[in-house]
Amino acid sequence: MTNLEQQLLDEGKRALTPTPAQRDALRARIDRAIAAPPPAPPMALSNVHLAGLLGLVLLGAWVAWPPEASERAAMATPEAPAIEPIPVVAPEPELTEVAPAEPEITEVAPPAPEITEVAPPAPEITEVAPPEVRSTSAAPPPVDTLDAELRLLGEARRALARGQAREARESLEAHERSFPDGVLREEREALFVRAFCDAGEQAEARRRLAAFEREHPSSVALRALRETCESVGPTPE
Amino acid sequence: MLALTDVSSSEDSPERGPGSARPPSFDDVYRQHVDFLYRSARAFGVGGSAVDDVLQDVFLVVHRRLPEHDGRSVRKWLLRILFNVVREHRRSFRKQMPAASGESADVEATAHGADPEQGAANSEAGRLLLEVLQTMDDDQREVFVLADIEQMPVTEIADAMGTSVNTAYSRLRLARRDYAAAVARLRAREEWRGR
Repeated sequence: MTNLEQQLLDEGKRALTPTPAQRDALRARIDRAIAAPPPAPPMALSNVHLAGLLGLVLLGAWVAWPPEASERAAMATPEAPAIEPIPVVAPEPELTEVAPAEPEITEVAPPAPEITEVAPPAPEITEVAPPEVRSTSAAPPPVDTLDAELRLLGEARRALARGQAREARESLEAHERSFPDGVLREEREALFVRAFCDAGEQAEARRRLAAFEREHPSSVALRALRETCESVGPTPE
Repeated sequence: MLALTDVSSSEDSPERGPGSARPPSFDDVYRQHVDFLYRSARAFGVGGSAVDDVLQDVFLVVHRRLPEHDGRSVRKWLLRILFNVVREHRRSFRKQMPAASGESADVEATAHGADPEQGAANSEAGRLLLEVLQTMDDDQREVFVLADIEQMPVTEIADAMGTSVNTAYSRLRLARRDYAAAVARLRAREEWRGR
């Protein structure tokens, strides 16, 4: 693993670690969820299972009502026969039918036994506003070397994109002072070449490009760098 | 067991002694493992705005199941719960956004506003790391995150994932290759961004 790869892992890990404020907010939220009473199952299941229940009631009514009799009464009052079986049939099927809440959850979750536990309903989720927590999160400490390097080079790139070669050079010089042998040294030198090219300082641009070619002959940036600086003129041999 | 004790960081040690059979308290579990779980969830591709939902679900399961736990291998146990919750989260996300199915968590992360300015990855390095991780498929990324970021031994990772050690090593090898390639591409792109 190269230096840059390792550094990105280390500093990325630090950046992904929650801040104390995030940790506390999350804990408070979990405590609230734990303290909240469990949601009443009938409420959650009512819509789906009322339909099933109604179907059962109608089926029960149809069975209890002989076809001959129903033929006579069917067209007249279809609801009347259905009402009668309700008190008899309804309570039992309701309980056995309502249970599918479980299958629904297990269906969603895969193998391990914990899976069934995995998706507890969390009614409070929308009440907590995570963005606020985020906004309070402190920026990671500026001691992150790679971060600091990236920041300076990012400033330089943005300045170049705006056509402000001088500002770009200031950022690059700051990088050079702070991280003379930083992991992004190669990128810095390439940007230096660009900055001088863009500023029309041909002599310096050529000198730096020649040095860059010597130091980083296999750099992925070399080709683009040569093209960028074509307008400046050929590299002296 | 010995391997687990050796492997565990200071995070895990209090409740994992050889003779320990008492489940740790919920407070201990939260304090010692919340960072690990939070980072892992983010690195697995859970978007910045969804990570709190995922962690809440994980700890609700922990709260419910902790009394039955034997107090050993807490981190591995937590990891299994996290895997399940994250997978469930991905499934529900893809149900909500069918266009995202088949794609990796990068879609999800983006949809949840995970990258640049969002969440814990508000530093350049964090953003870049997430970006690189998003180039991997889910299985490879999980092994890579646990092995190379969290420094967990591959045997423990394989156990938690329910795969063979060989499979885990194979995924790790591929993930490392992809990581190196992605960093190289990133480096080239960052260098010439804004041209």
